[in-house]
This record gives sequence, structure tokens and C-alpha cells, in this order.
Amino acid sequence: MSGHWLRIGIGFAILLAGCDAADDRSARWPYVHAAILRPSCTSSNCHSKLGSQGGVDLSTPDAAYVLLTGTVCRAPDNPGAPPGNFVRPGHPESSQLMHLMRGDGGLIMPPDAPLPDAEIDIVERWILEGATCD
Amino acid sequence: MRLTLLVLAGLALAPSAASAYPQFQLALGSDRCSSCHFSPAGGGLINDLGRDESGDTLSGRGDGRFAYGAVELPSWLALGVDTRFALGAKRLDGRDITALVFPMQADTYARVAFGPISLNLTAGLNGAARSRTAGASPATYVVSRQHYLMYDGSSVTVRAGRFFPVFGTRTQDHTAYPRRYLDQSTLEEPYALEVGVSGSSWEGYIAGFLGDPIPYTGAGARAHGATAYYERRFGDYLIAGNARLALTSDDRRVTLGAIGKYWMPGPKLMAIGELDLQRQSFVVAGGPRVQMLGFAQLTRMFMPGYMIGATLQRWDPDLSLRGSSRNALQLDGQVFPWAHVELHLLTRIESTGGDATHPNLLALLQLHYYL
Repeated sequence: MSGHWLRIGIGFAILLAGCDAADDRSARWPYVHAAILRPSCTSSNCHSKLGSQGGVDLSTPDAAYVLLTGTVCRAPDNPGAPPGNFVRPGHPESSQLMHLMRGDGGLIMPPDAPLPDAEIDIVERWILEGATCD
Repeated sequence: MRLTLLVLAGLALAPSAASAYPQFQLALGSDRCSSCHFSPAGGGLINDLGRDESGDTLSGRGDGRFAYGAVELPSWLALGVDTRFALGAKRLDGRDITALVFPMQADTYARVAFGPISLNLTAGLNGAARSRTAGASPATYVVSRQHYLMYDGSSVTVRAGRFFPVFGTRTQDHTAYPRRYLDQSTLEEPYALEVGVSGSSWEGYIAGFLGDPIPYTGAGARAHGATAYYERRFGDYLIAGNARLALTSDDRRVTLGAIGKYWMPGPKLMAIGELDLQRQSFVVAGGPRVQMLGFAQLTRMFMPGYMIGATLQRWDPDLSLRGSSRNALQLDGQVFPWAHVELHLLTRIESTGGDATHPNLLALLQLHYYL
């Protein structure tokens, strides 16, 4: 009986310790939005539909994608450059979204609790791989 | 050191859900939230017993009645006002210190009862921590966090409208992890239908909720789904379990959690713990992940007048992803000098991604006045 609980304890400890790196996670837009941006950015009076701070509403994946990339998902025509160059596909180093999440220019997002590097790395990989919407 | 002063015009950070203190249950002679609040979930408008307690047990001084008893309301009407103002400072990730000065909350409450049926309304000002976008609708400056009809029978309650269903620890601090990361933050109240049944030592609730049937009333994940909560009390302690299913067009989350409270009358210590495991699966991309929320709080009561507490919190958005956790240690000191008045000093040290070398630091002094 004690061996049984020991195995459960060891398993739980391994689970808590974490074993995967950010590279093991999906870097597709539906995951980036649902797993990182929506829970961290759209709460309260921030970038929700209600708050739309700075004119930025990230509450739905389609609206967030248009706002960040300037591109309508799956649309044949590109309506124009993204506002503020939030995301430049293939170029995380010149994408404002990355600078905001890392706080490179002073302003850091989210302003109350910065994202852990593991989640920022996933967003960076999404941009590096072309920032597509599917 | 650069000190940036943010004086925020208008109301900021949005009105917080009103003052439910889970520490009071069991510790102050009341075994359930609805002993002092009209809502079975606690928070919001307090009833006659709650008003008596605010003057007696909590502060030991003052008249807790509405408007200090200057206005005698008919028995079918209850009114209230909640205001909070905060000042403090934060330091994120080793960066410059930012000073904070802002009004937090200005809510009014009204409850109109017709026998066992009541209409419960909350209306308040809704500000923002940063300036609003030009052209923002004036309607976004006011908000009603809660508005619902309630049937309150002797052992059965039914609520329909906008409110948080009974779920989890239900602390008044909307930045506490159980609220922040489980869709219970400010303005995330869904529209719900809830049925509750209670006995002398237990209560249970089930609810179905809708995320966003009325545009611009809320924020957050805006999921729809269902919750269940069961609580059983054993004298000086209680155990509770809760479950939730939350669905959006992008993901599905199934949450199972347990809550425990243990009141130690000798040292006047209240221990509260909550542990939730949540499985999130994605409709389009990415395999499922398991999330964990832990909350452990120890509060020393010096009633009447004072309360100090220490809280450990952990949020793992992906248990098997290295470097994604959030951990926080929070120390609180609360003073209740008179009925209607509270001073609350909140300090928090928080690390993200397991990096404790550059923690986020927060110190916030809140002045809370309610009528």
C-alpha cells in the first residue's frame, strides 16, 4: 500500500516539475490565442471587447488576428499593414508584440504580471514561422 | 530610480466584486455566506445581521446600519454603496518602480423583495487603468456587474440573471489566482441560472451559464457551461468540492476542485485551501493540457478591529511545460476601525516561469468605505 502511494507521489512530483520545453507546444494561431493571449490579455478592462484598451480588442481569434497582423484570416487580399506593426510575419525581432511582451521599450504587457518566457517563446515561434492564422 | 506617478482620472481597474471575506465563515459565528449577505455566494449587499456584525464583531464601534440608521428603509427594500480607493506601488521584473493612485470601486446596490422573490441590482462606474480610446461609447463608463432575480425559500434558492455562480473560495480580491485564472475576475460575471439546496450543515448548487449574450457587459473568456458546488460543514471545519465545464468556440475546459476551511478557535487562526485541476483541450490546434491552481491562506483574527494573513498561490497553465508557472506570496493586513470602514494593506511578491531572481512586487493600500 505504501509503495502505491509512493508511486503516486513520485508521479505527481514529476508532473509538477514539468518536463516539456516550449518547443514541444503548438505554435499555431488557434493555440497561441486560446492558450496565451486570451487568458492573459483579455480579462477585465484590458483588451476585451468591453475594455478595448488602446483600441485593441483581442477577445476573439479572428479580431485579434486582424488587429495584430493587418490581415483577414484566409482572405485573398491583404488590407494593409498591421496597426503599429504588432506582428511582422517571419520577423519577431521587429514585431512590436514581442517588444511589448518582453518590455524592451519600457512598456511591458501584461502590465500587472509579465508572461513567463515559455509562453513568449511560443508566440515568437508563431511569428517566426509566418504568423499564419490556421 | 525612476518614479512614475499614475494619477488615473475616473474610476480605475473597474469595480471589484464586493466584499466577501471567506475568512469570516466559521470564524465569526456564521456558518454560511448567506448569514450576512443576501447572495448565497457571499459578497455584495449585506443583510441586517451582516450590518450588525460590521458594527459589533468586526469593528466593535459604530452603527453598521444603512446610512447609520438615519434612514429607515421598509422591510422590502435594501440599499447599499461600496467605494474603494487605492494607492501603492509596483515593480515588475526588476524594472523601475511605478506608483499607483486610483479609485477602485463605486457601486450601488438595491434589493427589492416581494416575499421570497427579490430583484437584486448592482450599478457602478466602470473606469480603466489607462485612458480610453477616443470615441469610446459613454455606455462603457457605467456597468452593472450583477442583476438577477432570486427565489429564496427555506432551503431552496433559485437565481437567474448576471452573477457569479457559487464556485471556489470566492475571495473579495479579484486578483487572487482562483478568481483571476478561473474566469472569476472583474466583470467576468456570466448570465446564469442557479439552483441551490441547503441543510443545517451542508449546501449544494448547480448552475448553467452563458458567456456573452449581451454585448459589452463583460470581459474574459466568455465561456458557456455549467458549475456544481457542494459544501459540508463539521463544526470548526468544512470541506467542499466543485466542478465546472466551460466551453468556447476555441477550447473546452473541465475543472475539478476541492476547498477546505479549518478554524482554530484557540489561536484564532483560519486556514483556507483550494486546489483545482483543469483539463483544457483545443478545438483546432494543440494537444490538451492539464492546469493546476493552488491557494493556501492562513489568517490570524484580532477581532474586533484587526486581521492579518499570509497566502501562497500557484497557477500552472500547463503542468508539463517547463517554466510556465506563476507563484505568489501575499501578506495582508486589514483594519476595521469603525463600522463602514476598512483599511487593507496588500503586499505581494510574485514570480513567473519559476524565475525568482526578478520577482514582481506589489504594495497596495486600500481604503474601503461602504454605506
